[in-house]
Amino acid sequence: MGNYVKYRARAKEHFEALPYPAWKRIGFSDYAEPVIGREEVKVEIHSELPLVGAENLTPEQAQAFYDRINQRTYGVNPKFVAFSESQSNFSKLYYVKRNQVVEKPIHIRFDLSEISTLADEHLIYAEKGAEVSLILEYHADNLVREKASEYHIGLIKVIAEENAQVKVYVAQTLPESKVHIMNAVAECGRDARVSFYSVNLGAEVVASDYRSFLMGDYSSSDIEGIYLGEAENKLDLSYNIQHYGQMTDSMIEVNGALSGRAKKVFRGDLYFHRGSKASTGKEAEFVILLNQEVKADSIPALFCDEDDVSGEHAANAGTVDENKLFYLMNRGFSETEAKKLIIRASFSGVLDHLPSEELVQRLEKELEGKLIHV
Amino acid sequence: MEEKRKTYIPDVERGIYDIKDEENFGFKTNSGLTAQIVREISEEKNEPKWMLEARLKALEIYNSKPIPTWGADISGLDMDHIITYVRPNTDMRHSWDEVPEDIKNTFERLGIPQAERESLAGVGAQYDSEVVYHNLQKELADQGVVYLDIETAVREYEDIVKEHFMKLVPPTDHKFAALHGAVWSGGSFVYVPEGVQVDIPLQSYFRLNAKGAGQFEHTLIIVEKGAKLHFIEGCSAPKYDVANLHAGCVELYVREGATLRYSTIENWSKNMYNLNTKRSVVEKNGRMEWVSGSFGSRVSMLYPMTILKGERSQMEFTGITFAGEGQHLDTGCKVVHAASHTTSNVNTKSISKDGGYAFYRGLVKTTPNAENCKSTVSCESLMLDNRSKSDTLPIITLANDKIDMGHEAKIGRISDDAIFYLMSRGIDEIEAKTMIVSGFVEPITKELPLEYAVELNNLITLEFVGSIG
Repeated sequence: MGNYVKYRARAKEHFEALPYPAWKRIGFSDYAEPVIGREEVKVEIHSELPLVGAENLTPEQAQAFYDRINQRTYGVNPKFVAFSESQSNFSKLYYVKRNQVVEKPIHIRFDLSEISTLADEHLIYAEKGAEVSLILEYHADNLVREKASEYHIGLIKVIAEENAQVKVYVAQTLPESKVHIMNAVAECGRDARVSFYSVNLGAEVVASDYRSFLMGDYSSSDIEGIYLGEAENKLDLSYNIQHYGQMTDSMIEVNGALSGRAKKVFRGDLYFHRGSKASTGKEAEFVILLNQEVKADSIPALFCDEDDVSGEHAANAGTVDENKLFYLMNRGFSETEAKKLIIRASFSGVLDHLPSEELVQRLEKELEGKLIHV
Repeated sequence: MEEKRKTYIPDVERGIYDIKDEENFGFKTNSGLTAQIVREISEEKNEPKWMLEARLKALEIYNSKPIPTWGADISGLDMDHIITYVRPNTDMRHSWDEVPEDIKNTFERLGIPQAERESLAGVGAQYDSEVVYHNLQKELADQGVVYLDIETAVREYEDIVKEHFMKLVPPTDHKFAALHGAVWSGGSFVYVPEGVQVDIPLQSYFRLNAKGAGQFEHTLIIVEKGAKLHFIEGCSAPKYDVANLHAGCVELYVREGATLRYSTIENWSKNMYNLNTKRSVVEKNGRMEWVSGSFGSRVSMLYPMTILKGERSQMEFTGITFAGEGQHLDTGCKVVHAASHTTSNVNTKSISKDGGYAFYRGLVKTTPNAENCKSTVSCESLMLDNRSKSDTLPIITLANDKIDMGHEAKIGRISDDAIFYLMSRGIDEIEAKTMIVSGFVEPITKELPLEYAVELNNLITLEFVGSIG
């Protein structure tokens, strides 16, 4: 308890010393500062694993989450990491003991309809051989009022010890008035595997950073994302994998569609550090452009300090494939239906991975509503 | 146990490049950079007034701009100790016989006069800050092709030069473009009139002999409607223990339906900071082809840029970078699709070894009105040991939906599977590896001028013993 208070106070100091960042490429700057209000956080929690607040961290866990991980660079910006650490109004520790397998995914569903700022902090500690899946869902389906500053600032930290398996699914269907900021970081021990799946179907501004540090030999990480940008949406999506251990394996795959006047930046980094022998990494980004006025930037980078590795990246952008469209329309689909089908198909990689049928249905419904104008 | 032997791939054979001549100059400025030095250079060249004014303006811009902090480390470059202007002790000649013996011998060693006799339509040779030799075949001159050193062009074709000089790369572009604008000296001017096809290449060769000096040559090429030109640029310098600087500028205007191929083989010595700026603007149906080989220099930051301004214009970039010990070669290519139905095709390869650092930095950009553009970018990097570094950072920014853009990159070392496959077909290991590396660079070498392709192939086949890595 004492430790947590100490770390929170230290994060507050950091937070106050740092300036708010500006996103040049998507043109997001001079925004109103997020303020934590007094509203209660509305949340549905389904978990067979007993969850406790972050104040119950053991000193070793606190040291791992706040000292060890914080020595690394991660997150969309340190300001927002420090925000969640110092002022979170929802924090949970997911402590999965040695060889414990949590069969049913933990499902946490936040309703942001009545809250101005949600700052949530999720600390996942999977000991040797443990297995756990976590679904985080953010929606504001019962939105009753519009507010000037409405933020969701999330922070996920994963420590996966030897041979642990952790899957984290983040799905947001927030309304136009919200800013969705997500900082996620994972540290993988030997043979550990951490997967992140992110679904962005809403929010006016999305700024996210998913990052895995493959420290142990044979560790692996997948980061998969889908997004839909429409109207004046701005998305700055960053995915980053750092290979340190030998024989590590990674994959980043992002599929998206942009319509309206949406702006998107994709940043995908694969970094092979010296010593990460026989590692492989792949990243791929595919974006379908649906309107003349969209803006799509891609910055897929490969950094390599080790020769015995194999890294690949591919990016592809363009309008809906004419041949596919022709084929489908030939079979009696209207142009809009055909386009929807093609976009839906490009999203299936992530949607089919989601372990909750209810969630998939909700996302399908949301997509259906969004793709009216294509 | 038998000792494991490592492959040794030597650097490009530098013997002939490293022979230094005694410094025997007619005039040189003090080191550093002041308005006084800029005035001296301008006076020495007997320039029109507008040029002096442009130089002084560029100097102001230079002083107001910060040193770039991204990319390669250029902190070893101390501008206060760079001599910006060194005039060799000769005037420009049109016959090699009249060029002073020591300078002529240098170019003989580099094979320039021989190449001129055998395979070039015209040659320009620059020694330190001034062009010492310039010649063009009579048939081409008769067709109206102009190939001159740029100082002469400033006087004889003042209107054309004034209209185009530093318009594509304004001094405000970046700090070293401003520096170039202030102290530029030497370089070539080529004008190919409408419809003239220059089938045999022209070559300019830049040699920097003076110690601690900078070379700031300016190349201005205008290829008029329907005309065609192949221009080759070669660079080298002997090695000194102090930093030398090359901040040249290349401006290329490709008019409607014209084709320009610009080949560069850069083999500066490893004390050279190569901060060069190259830019081309291509009009309707025009075609720009770049062939770029970067082998030398300690630090290179070189990103040739093409602006596809006219509809259906095309650009092709073929590049190879070879970063050896102590080298940081930050190279790449930029293309702006500013009109509809434009296409670009970028193909680069890089090899890094012995702690060399090869960085590909690229940009593909489309403007909102440029519809139905196609772009493919492919970069491959091969690392020959784990002391080296190789990074790839392509940036793609798209501003409309009617685009077909593809990018791919690969990084790594020679795959064991490929070696296994070849060996199972009866080829021994060394030969298999040689084949793979030769195959890796083959798409590029076939585009290089012959003598450079031979050199690169020799480099790969030499001493391929033991295993790679």
